[in-house]
Amino acid sequence: MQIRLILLPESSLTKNEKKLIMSLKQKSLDLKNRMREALSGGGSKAIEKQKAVGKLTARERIIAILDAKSFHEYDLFVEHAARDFDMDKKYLAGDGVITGTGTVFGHPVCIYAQDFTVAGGSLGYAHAKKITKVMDQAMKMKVPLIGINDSGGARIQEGVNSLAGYGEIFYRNTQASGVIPQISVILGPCAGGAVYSPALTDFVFVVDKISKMFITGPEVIKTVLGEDISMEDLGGARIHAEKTGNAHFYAESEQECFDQIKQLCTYIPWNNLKKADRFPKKPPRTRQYKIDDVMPSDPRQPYDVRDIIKSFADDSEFFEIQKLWAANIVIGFSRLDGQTIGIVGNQPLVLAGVLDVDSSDKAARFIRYCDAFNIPLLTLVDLPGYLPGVDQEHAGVIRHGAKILYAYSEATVPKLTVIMRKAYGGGYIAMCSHHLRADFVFAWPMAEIAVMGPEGAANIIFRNEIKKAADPDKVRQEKMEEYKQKFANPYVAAAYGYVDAVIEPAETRKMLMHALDISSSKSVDVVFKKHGVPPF
Amino acid sequence: MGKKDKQEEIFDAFCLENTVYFTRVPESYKNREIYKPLNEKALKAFIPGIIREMQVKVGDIVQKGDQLMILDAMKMNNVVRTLFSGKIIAVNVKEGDMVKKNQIIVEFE
Repeated sequence: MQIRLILLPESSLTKNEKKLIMSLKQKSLDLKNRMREALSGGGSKAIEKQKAVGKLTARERIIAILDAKSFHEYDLFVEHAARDFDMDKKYLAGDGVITGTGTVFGHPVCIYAQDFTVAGGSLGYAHAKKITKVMDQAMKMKVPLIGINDSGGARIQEGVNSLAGYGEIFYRNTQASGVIPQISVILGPCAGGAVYSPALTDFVFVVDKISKMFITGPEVIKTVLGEDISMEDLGGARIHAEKTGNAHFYAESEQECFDQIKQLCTYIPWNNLKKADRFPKKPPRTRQYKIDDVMPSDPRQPYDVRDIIKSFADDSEFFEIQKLWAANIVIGFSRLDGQTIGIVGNQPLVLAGVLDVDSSDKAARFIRYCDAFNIPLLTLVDLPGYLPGVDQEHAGVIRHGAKILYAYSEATVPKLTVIMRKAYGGGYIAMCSHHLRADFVFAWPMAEIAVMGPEGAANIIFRNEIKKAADPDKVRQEKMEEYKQKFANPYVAAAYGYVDAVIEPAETRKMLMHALDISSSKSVDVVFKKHGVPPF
Repeated sequence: MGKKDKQEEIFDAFCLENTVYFTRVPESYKNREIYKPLNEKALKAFIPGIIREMQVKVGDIVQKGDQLMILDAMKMNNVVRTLFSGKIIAVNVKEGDMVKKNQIIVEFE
């Protein structure tokens, strides 16, 4: 920033004019000095420390995510007003957080990054106020919010005011949910109450060895419970990506993480009143991904459902979310005809693709995200049913499984379903059947839509015949075949209109593109309510 | 992933409703805790903490609901009551001991 002065020969200036010019120059210099101080963050020593553990500084992170030269910082001169514990003598640059606006692929976003070099990125009242201000701005302007978390937690010296700060952030996260995309990037510690802001947002990004998230840290756990665990094993990136499901994207480095964020931004609309950007349509790379090569002839053999997606998606692209957690269901974004679609697919490669507590939870939240942001849903069905077991029942598979039913039934975006192989029992209903108001249900000729698998069904229906038979195994086999012939196909469901069309797998792309086209102005009358009471 | 790579992988056999599926079974599933019914001979600590006050000894006969000890946990003095009636044959902890969750603290005949 510069104040430009038109310089006249000094001799022609009056004394007063000379004074005025001097004072303007001084003011410009003063601004520069103030900026230099604020931009120095926690000082060279603290910055060195940050770099030593492989972390970028807060400002570098913002610049890496945004388009070149697009970052505009605000509230650089905000200072805290804390008085207790000698805080009045402490200057904290920007109060430990950087806020501003910029663009990602030319589209505006609001962004903030906690600066760990300034008092450990601790959250005080002014710090929180900067964050809530930029959140309010994001909501007003209906643009996405990206939050970079790197903070030791509440600023203890500020007491209940820092708690108030968190509360104000959580409230805004909730208000903004489903209105603007909210992206949380965990690039350092994020502990205690602080974890709930990311948890309330749409997408959480973590980086190996850098991200740490937990409610109570290893020390407290050791003192209270006597359990000894490292920070990494308790709440490291891998744990959240694989075990807890708190993280949606896992990266090996900060740069990889930023690339993931930018890629995500290409798939999502900027707010709930918009549609995602349409890209030029691209054919799938069918030489590499052919449905017939992917799908085994034996229905008990596995395949990777992601290869099926790649066989019909634009440019064979699939941007997977929560890749490592609950891998028995696959969720993510793709494009068809240049349009973003959200895909939910059973994954026969893992646990035969069953639904269980975690996979229900994973799919349901994604369905609600897509519905909130006008992203059409495609469901790929091949599952033997729900996972049996005491652990599942006791972990609340009823409650969690209900989430999928709720999310699909509630969704009003275009809903397309392809039943690839098995669709048995409750799983058939749950995976976006017509009964939950799918707009189009297609089935492949090898689909088996039935109340349960032929083996189980034969054992129940023909129990007496099998028992009485001289050779029960032979009769069981015969009855199973009989059941298979009669019911293990898509035609019974098609006869009732529960399947709209039985199609050749190779026709899938064409059928889906047409269905999407037909659904482009879909509207559903929704009964007025404040909100539902989902089993979440 | 082409067809070739797939043939190299050896899948787990996973049985559901009399059908065997070939698939990957995650370690977390293989290592899941298998359910065991409640053992009526052993009382376990329901929360980790420190034993503050022992109110019973070996040989005592107690009724379901009787107070056994005070367990200091989560900043509270928790009264430990017995879930079972019978004669105590072993008390595995003493005052001041730190107990872990599910540690057997009292055994019954």
